[in-house]
Amino acid sequence: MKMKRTLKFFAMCLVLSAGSACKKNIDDIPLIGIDGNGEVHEVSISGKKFKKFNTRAMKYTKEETLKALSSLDKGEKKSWKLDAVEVGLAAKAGFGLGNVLKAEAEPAFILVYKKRN
Amino acid sequence: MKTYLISILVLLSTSLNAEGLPSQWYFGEETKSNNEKSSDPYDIDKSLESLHDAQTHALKKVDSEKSGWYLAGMKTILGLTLKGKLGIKSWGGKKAIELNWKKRDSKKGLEETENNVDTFNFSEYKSSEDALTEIEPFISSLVESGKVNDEKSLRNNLRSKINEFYQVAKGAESAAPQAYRPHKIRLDLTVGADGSVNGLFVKVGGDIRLRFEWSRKNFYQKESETLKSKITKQTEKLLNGLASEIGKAIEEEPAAKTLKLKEFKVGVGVSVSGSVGVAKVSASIVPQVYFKKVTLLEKAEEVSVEEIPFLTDDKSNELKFVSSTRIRKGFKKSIRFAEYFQKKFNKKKYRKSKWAVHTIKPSYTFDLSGDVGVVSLKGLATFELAYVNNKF
Repeated sequence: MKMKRTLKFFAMCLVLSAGSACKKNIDDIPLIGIDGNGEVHEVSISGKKFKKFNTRAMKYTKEETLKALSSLDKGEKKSWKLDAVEVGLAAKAGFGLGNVLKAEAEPAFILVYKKRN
Repeated sequence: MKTYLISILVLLSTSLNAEGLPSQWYFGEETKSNNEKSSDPYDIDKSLESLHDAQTHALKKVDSEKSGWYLAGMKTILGLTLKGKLGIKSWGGKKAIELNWKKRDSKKGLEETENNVDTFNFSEYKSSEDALTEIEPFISSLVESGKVNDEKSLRNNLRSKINEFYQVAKGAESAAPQAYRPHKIRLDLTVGADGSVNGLFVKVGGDIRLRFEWSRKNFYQKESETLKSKITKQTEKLLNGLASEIGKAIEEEPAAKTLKLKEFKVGVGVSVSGSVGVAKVSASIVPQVYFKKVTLLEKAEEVSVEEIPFLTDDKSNELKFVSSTRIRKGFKKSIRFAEYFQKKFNKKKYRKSKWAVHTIKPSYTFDLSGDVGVVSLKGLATFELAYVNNKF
């Protein structure tokens, strides 16, 4: 009887601890880096939220990049030919990092656009 | 009773699965005191699955429209915390792994896009004096524009860097024909208003940047031994040793069969006294030597080197020698890590996805005992290896 009660208590504790841990899911994606003072910081974002943000940011970047590139194509003729462009995306905005970090955000995703032949 | 036992076992197994990168894959001075698991719930597999899902979903969405320009690929930069969490490197710190995404039906690789930077091509110069002559208009334009106010300092700093780079390039040029051979050397520099010259491009915009580059030409004339400087001779020996060890490691390591090592990059530093050794990529100015697998026109040379010199990071800037057997062991471990990591992006369920990880570029740090580990945020990289996904 005592054993049963102990096991019940132990199981309840684990359920509760697992339940509280679920606030941070094991499939969260950590955003990490070092700030200006050399301190490591990390912020976890749920996979679902990241997917939404990432798709939105990449769509926006694509629109802006293609707009800029097509205006370049229409411009005056240059002696050089632009055939590839890299656009960096930083994963800082919108994740609650805000002013916590003094360090500048660095591009974590680099999109490579090339001109069709 | 049974129910309680089952729930305990299930929950225990869940908590045991929640962990980061196994600690055997990373280490370092900076992690010795912090080498404990993170208390946060985190599972590297699940987290990378979320990343894969998010990236492929977004790539599919932005790839649909037709225009004069197309999305050829994407690079994702990952960092490693001191507790073994692999995450998106969103601000400062060292890169641990770069993932290059490509469309499966695309034939072309995601070649490096050239930066818009003044580049001086050392494969075209017959002497360091040639390079100095070529760089003169660049110096004059900086002084005339007022961007640099100490002309003498700029000229002296560049002269010293040119001489050093030229001798390192000569060493690479003389490297023995082996399966892996130096094919490019690159040194990125940033010029300050006071004429100072710093290494690596660290910021975007505003800086005055220039690049020294050397690339192998097949028709080069081998320099006579008597004309070679100490730096040239030592560079040649070092690069021969590294090429030999990586070649042997690939031959001997079974995991290498599932991967294709496209390229590996190493920092080559010159000490104050003119000794050459593997250097960690830090804020100091270090030329990066790129090796790639080559089809040899001539017979491969058997190279045997007992020790590989490393430049220490401390102020003494001395050489420490690591046995080549240990270096080979380190390379083998790096291959096994790449295989371990590659598997995470080669799961069956990903096969139907139009976009996939084509190249994995882990950065490693070697310690002076010869052990190797993936570089953490606070670490300093020694080698970067680029593996092509064979199941792409």
